[in-house]
Amino acid sequence: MQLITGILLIVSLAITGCAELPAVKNFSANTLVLAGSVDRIAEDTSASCFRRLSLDVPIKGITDEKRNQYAGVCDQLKQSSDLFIDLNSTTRGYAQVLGQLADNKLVIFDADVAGVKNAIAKLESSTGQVYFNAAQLNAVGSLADVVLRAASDAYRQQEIRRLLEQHEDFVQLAAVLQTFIRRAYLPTLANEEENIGSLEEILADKYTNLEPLRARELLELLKQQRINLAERKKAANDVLTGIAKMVEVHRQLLQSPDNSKLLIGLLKDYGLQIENVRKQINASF
Amino acid sequence: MLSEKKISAAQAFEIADSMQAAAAATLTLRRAIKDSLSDQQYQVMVEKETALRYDADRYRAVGIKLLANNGALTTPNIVSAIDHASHAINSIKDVSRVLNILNSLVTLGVTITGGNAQAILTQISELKATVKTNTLPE
Repeated sequence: MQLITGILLIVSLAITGCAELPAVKNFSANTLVLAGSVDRIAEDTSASCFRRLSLDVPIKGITDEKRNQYAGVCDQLKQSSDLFIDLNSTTRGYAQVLGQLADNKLVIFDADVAGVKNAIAKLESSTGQVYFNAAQLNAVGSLADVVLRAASDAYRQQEIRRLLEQHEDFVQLAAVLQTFIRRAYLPTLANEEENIGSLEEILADKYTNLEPLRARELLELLKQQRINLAERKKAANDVLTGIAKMVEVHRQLLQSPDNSKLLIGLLKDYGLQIENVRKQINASF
Repeated sequence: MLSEKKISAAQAFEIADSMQAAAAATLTLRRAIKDSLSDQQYQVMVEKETALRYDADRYRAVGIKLLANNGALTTPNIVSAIDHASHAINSIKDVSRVLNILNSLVTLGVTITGGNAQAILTQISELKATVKTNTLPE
């Protein structure tokens, strides 16, 4: 029994040294939220085009032929954005496997070990004598659980490390997400916003005298669209900041896997930013 | 329209920006000279501006497509690392599966010692079910 206790102690000490798992889990949970937000933004890129078209048709008096042609362009944006969402699934997949590896639920074998222990307890000789007493069974059960957990902890630590070592690729992926927001999404919103200005002028120039009620109604709608666009722009900028923080935390997880003060600070900062993103995305879309 | 293969994502986005800037310039011009425009001329300027805005969308769509394709090409190691990690997660789950099978095996051993033929057959059937459940992919 002393030997068993000794082994248990050594293995337990080895396990408690793996302090970065909660940090990895935290990073994973926040990155999943961020990846979901990038998807929402990508979906809104073609939606912006369709929103514009739905206002252009009644206010600019666009012909059916032109409307179909422009709807085809919005469809192209949708197809391209869907490709981008496929690419972003890499971000989600990466965060998911990191989170699964860091989750202690993956290595809780208590129920399985208890089942084996109960089965062993039923073993008895032909004379009805039991082979193991309760204390021995408990010791065997605990040892089996701890050894299994320790073995798989080391294994998953190694796998987490292997994932984190893809840092350069991860940075590359983050840069692609940022480029999409900066070069595609925000300019698309700007296009929509400028078009609202154009529509307001057309209403003032052509409709205010002829159909004042309809013009006022449409102007009110455009005003609301401007407010929504401002919220969406803010959401996109929050996501950009979130991506930058995601890269910082990832670098720190790789360079200093233990719970250093810097890592804890960066994680906290990242968590707060993701909370902003979550709120802003919910308010904007 | 230029062939997608001949331009980069950055170039496609630049063209889109230029189209949008041209649309904005058309709007500014319309605003400046609207008092001197006939209805028909005003409408032509609205149509030009509108067409330029959708041209900007068209080139942005090209840019996004190229960006997504390039992104997939430049991050193969991450995809391979995710596959590797998924395999590792399944391996850890295998430990649980093996324990479940072991449990059934030991129970069968106990039943065999008891000598009850019907109970042994039932236990063998349960063992088969456990093996099946714990060896099928999730």
